[in-house]
Amino acid sequence: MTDSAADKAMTAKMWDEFCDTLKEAGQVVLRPEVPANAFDRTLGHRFLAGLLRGGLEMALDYANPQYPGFFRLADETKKMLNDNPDNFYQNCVIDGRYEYKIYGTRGTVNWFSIGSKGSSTDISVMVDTGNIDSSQMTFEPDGSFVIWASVEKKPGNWLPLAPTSRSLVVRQTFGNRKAEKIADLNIECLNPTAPNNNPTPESVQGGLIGAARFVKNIGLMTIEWQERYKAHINKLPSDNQERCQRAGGDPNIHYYQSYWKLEPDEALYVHLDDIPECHTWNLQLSNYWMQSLDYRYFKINVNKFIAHYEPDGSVIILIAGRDPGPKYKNWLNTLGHGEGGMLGRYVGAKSFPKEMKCKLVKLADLA
Amino acid sequence: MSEALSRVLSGQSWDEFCDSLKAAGRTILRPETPATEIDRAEGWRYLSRLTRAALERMLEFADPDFPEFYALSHETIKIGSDNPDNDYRNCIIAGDRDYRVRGTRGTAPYLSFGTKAERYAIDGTQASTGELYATNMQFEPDGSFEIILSATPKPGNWLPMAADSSMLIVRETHFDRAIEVPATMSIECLGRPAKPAPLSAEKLDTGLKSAAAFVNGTAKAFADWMAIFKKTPNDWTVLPQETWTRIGGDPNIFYLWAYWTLAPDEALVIETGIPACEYWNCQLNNYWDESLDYRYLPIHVNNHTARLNADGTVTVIIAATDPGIGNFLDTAGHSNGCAMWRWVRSEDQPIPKCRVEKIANLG
Repeated sequence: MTDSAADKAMTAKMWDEFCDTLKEAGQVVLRPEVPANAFDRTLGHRFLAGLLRGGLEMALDYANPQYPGFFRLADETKKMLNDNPDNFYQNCVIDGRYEYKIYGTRGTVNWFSIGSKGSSTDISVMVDTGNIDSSQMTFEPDGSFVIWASVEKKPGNWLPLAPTSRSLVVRQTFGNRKAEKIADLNIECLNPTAPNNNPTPESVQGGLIGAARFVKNIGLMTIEWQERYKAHINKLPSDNQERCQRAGGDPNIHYYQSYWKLEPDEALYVHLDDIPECHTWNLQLSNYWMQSLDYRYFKINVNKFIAHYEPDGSVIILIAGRDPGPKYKNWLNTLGHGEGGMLGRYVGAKSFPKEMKCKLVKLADLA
Repeated sequence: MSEALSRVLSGQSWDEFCDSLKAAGRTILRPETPATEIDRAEGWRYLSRLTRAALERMLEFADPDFPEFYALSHETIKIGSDNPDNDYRNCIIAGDRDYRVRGTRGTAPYLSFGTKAERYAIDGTQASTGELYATNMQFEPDGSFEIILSATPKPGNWLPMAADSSMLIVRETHFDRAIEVPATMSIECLGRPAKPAPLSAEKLDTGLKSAAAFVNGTAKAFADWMAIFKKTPNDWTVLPQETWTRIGGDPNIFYLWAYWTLAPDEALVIETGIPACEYWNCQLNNYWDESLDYRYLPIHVNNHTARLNADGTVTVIIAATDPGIGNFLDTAGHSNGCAMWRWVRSEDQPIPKCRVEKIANLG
């Protein structure tokens, strides 16, 4: 006979199972696919610790759709699945059976979008159920706004939900992260039925185990994806867009996702000579765990607004462990890593090149 | 190979972190803790929240050369009777370095900066090593300010540190968040290296160990306090104020703690006169000293929000249902917990009178 959540709450069983599941998730870092060097294995454990924090917020602290709040599954110290250094991400657990008011102020961020996502039993699958972005919205003269999120269409700014919608993903996309102010977002459920936001043994049990499983599953999924991208090391072909969308990708974005691996004397020379008309584009470096490198202190990504352009309008990007010299103004620093993930994006474009062109070069051969 | 590296590569660091978290569960099950479903469920959630706080404190925001503000208490991480009126900011510092905080004042009525020597993980204490209040600071006409943190005196706004100072705590107290403009601030270590160093196996190993120790130490420290408050149920435990400054309290604040336990038909009635003071409040916590969910429930009252009696005194009612008199704080499904009263920069520190009444007899 299995214990009920209430039974497990009265003994330490609930907590013990959480700690045991978390411990088991640690085995992810020791898998044979993971580069067998101290740095990547060390970062692997910090990756898990970050997933744990995000997982607990999602599954436990912000898990009640009747008392929702925005939280951040990916931020400066919680990173996963090639999180975009040009984005301020926010997440929210909702339920399409309720209605919501999202309100706030516009800020000065270049662009933001809110997508509603449907439920799935597979943690790697998120179904798109509706979107709204700042270019489609109306704002008051002081920059304030209201968005209604509901299944039934509402006048004004409306974010469509499906009865199966279970979460929101917000992407606030910067042109220049250091200079722009994010939109301030708040959310309220308009028709809660529960009198308060108290946890129950069931909700805590579900939250703890959900978080520990999230750590393990995202860890394993990352390894699986990187194995796939290793098939085209140092190339940046267009990714399977459908698979990217299922994992929570933005339908406005066309993704180029891959794996880089460089010797200390090598560089990856990326030449974007066919950039389509778009809201923005960018290219970022990540570590083996698909975590964006530390963009707070280092230049590890380049975008439409901060890039240096050649006279012909094309962009040359150098990915290398040391400065390739003043001729290469778009140098992305690999920061002591020997291999990792990389991701290119064309946002809001109507046509897409097959790849972002890359070639492997010796640093010594660069003029 | 260093010991830390072999511990990381073998998975031992992670395994011990998980085992040590598991051991923290013993605190929730101590014999004097309430054996009710809600208190246990919240106890396990509390440990998971402490885990998040600990990983931020010990692993992600742990570089004193590159400090950044984070919040050790907020809407979903709550420690030691966190004040619902406060925006807290924490940050790692080291007493042998100098720091500059730059920001804008905003309009919150109370803003204080304190440096602490943090020993929560060792003995549950957090000693004050320097305090600075907005009322004693210089601001530019546009509200911007600069503070230097240093172990040696500096001109202008100076916040002292000691050799073992390890944490900066900023308390920004709002009377009414809807109309007040929050402060903004950032911190920089002066003379820091050009770039932060990459994560080493030593830092990871130490970070995970310290994080688990923080969870254990913090849970135990406040459970120990509750065991003391429990000796005088439904009344304040009056202790010398140094007791609280030793664990991170603000020296400007006179703190009163109480353990409350009420039947569903009972109310704790608290009455007091109000001395001349900058700010006061009263808040309701669960047994684990977490403020109840102030986003959605009336669980605290302050000098701005309180409805006073005709004679200028104030009555606070802690109960499951609102009797319609005084200032109602909602126990929200809890049968016991903690309450706190704060007198801030107060001429006098009266001890509010407490009595238990049947709700039906009130109003």
